[in-house]
Amino acid sequence: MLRIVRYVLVVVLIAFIVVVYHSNASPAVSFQEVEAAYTESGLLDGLDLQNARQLERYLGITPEMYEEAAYWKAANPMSADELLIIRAKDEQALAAIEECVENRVNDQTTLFGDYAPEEAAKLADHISDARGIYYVYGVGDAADEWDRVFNGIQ
Amino acid sequence: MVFSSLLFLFVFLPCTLIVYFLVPARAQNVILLLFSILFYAWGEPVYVFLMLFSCVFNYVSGLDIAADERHAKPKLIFALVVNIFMLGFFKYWGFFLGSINDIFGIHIPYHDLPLPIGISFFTFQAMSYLIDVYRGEVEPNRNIIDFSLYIAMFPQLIAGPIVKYHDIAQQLRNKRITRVDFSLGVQRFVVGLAKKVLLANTLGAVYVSVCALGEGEASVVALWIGILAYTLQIYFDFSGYSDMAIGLGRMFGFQFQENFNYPYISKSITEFWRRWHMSLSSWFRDYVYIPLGGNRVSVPRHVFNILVVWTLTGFWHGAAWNFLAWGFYFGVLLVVEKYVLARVLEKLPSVVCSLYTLFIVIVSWVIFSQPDLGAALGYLGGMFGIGVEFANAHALYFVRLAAVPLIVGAICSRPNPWRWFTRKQMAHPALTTAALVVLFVVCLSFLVFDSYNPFLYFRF
Repeated sequence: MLRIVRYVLVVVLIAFIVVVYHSNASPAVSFQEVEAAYTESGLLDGLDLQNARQLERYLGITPEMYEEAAYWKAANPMSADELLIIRAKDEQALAAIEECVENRVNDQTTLFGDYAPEEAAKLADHISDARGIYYVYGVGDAADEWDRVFNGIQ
Repeated sequence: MVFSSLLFLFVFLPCTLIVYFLVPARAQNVILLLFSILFYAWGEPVYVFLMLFSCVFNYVSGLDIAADERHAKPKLIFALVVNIFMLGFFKYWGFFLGSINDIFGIHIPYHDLPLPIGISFFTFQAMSYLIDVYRGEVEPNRNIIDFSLYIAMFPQLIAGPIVKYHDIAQQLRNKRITRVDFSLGVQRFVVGLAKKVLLANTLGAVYVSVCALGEGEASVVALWIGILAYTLQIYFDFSGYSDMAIGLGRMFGFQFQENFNYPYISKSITEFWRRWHMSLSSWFRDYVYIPLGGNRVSVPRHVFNILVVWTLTGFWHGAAWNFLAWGFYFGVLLVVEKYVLARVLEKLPSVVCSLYTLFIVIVSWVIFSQPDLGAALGYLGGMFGIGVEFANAHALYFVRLAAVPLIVGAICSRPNPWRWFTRKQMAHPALTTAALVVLFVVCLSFLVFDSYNPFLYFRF
C-alpha cells in the first residue's frame, strides 16, 4: 500500500513539473539573445543604453535584485520614453522590481502630468510584463511592439 | 516573506505567537505547521506544492523503509533518487543544459525556472531523515503533522540551519517552553536582526557599489574594500539569519543546532569549516564523507573523498561553475593543509595563522560572489593590480564610506563583544534589556527605508 502511495506521489510530482515548466516559463534563450531581439528590431531609436548605476538612480533597482539587465532611456530629457528588460534573481526579487517600476511610473506621471500631457499619456499606456523571472517594462510609442517582441521570444 | 520585514515582525510573528500560545499544547504543532505553510506560500504560492510533496512523500517513504528491513535499501535509494531529482530539476536543469549547449555548440531549448526558495535546505533535511531511518538510528515518525513540521517549520525552512531529525525528534513529541527560553529566543532574534539590518545590509551596499564601478573607475584599494565588505556581509547576513532562526525556534520551544562559531577567528581552513555553516558541514560529513570511508582509507582515496565532498558542497550552493570551483578550491586547500601545511601552521604565531586563513577565505568569497568565473578572475586580478591603478578618487570615496562599517563589522565578528554583553547582562539585566529594545527600534528605522533586503542564502 505504502509503495503504491509513493508511486502515485511521484506521478503527481511529474505532472506538477510538466505544468509549471510549460505555464510560467522564462524565454528559452539567453539574456543576450533577448537583448539582441530588441536591439535588432529597430524599435530603439532615440534611446540610449544606460548602465547599472543609472538603472539604480532612475528606477531604484539595485544589482542585488537581478542577474542581468538592459535599460534604455530617451536621450531627450523632455521625453518619458524608456525600456527595461531584466532577468531577476528570483521571484521575490521580481516582485521588488515590479514595485520599483510602479513607483517610477507614479513619479514620472507626477513629473510630466502638468506640462507634458502627451508623455503622461504614454506613461498611462506603459507595458509591464513578466515571463518566469524575465521582465519587461516600457514607456513609449513603440511600447506595444516591445511587448510583442517579449512575448514572441521562444 | 523574510524575517527582516515589517510584515513579518508586526503581523505574521505576533499572530503566530498569539495563536500558538492560546491553543492547548497538543494542538501547537498543527498551528505551527499551518502558519509555516502560510509563511512559505506567501512568497511561493506555486512552489508550496513542492514543500507539501516533500512532507508527504518522505513521511510515506520513512514508514515504507522501516516496514520491511529486507527491501529497505532499494526503497531508500528510490526515495533518495526522487528527492535528488526534485532538487536537481529545479536547481540544476538550466545549468546542465546550458553547459551542454556551451560545450558542444548546440542549442537544446530549455526554460529557466525560478528556484524554489529553501529547496536545498528542506530536501537535505528530508534525506537525512530517510538515511537515519534506514540505518535504524531513529524510529520513523508515524504522525504526519509532526513530521511535516520537521520539514516545514518556518524558522529554519528557508535558509537553515539544516536540522537533523534525531536532534529534534524528541522535541516534536514533547517540548517545554519556559519564560527563560522565550526571552532568550527573543534576545537571539533581535541580535540576528541587528546583524542583518545594521551590519550586513550596510556592508552589502558597499560591495554592490564597488561592483558597479565602470571601466577605468576600479582600483586595488576599492576592490579590496569591496571584498572585505562582502566578507563581513555574508557572515552577518547568514549568521544573522541563523540567529533569528534559532531564536524563533526557541520561542516556540525548539532548540536548533548552532550554525556559526565566530569563523573569522579561525587559524586554519580546517578550523574555519568547523565554525562556518556547521549544519551543512556536518550533513556532508555524516552522509557523504563517512560513507565514502572518511579518513580511514589510503591517502589517495582520502584525497579523493575530500575533493568529492567539497566539490559537492560548492555545487550545493548553486548551479554555476564558480560554485564548483569554490568548493574544489577549498577541497584542494584542505588536502594541502592536511598533508603539507598542518605541521608548519602549528609552529607559526597564531596571528600569522589567522591572517593566512583570512586571506584564503577572502579570495574564496571573490569566486563565490561574482556572477561567473571570468568575472571572479577579473576581480582577483584587479585586487593585485592587474589592469587597474592602485588608488583614485573613487577609492578615497570608498575609504570614507566603508571605514566605519568595516571596523564595526570586524569587531562584531569576534567573540569579545558578545562575551562583554553577556557579562553585563548578568550584572545589569534591566540595562541590557533596554539596550536590546533600542537595538530593535534602530533596526526598524532602517527597515522603514529599505524594504527589499533578501538574505544572501535565499538563492541556495
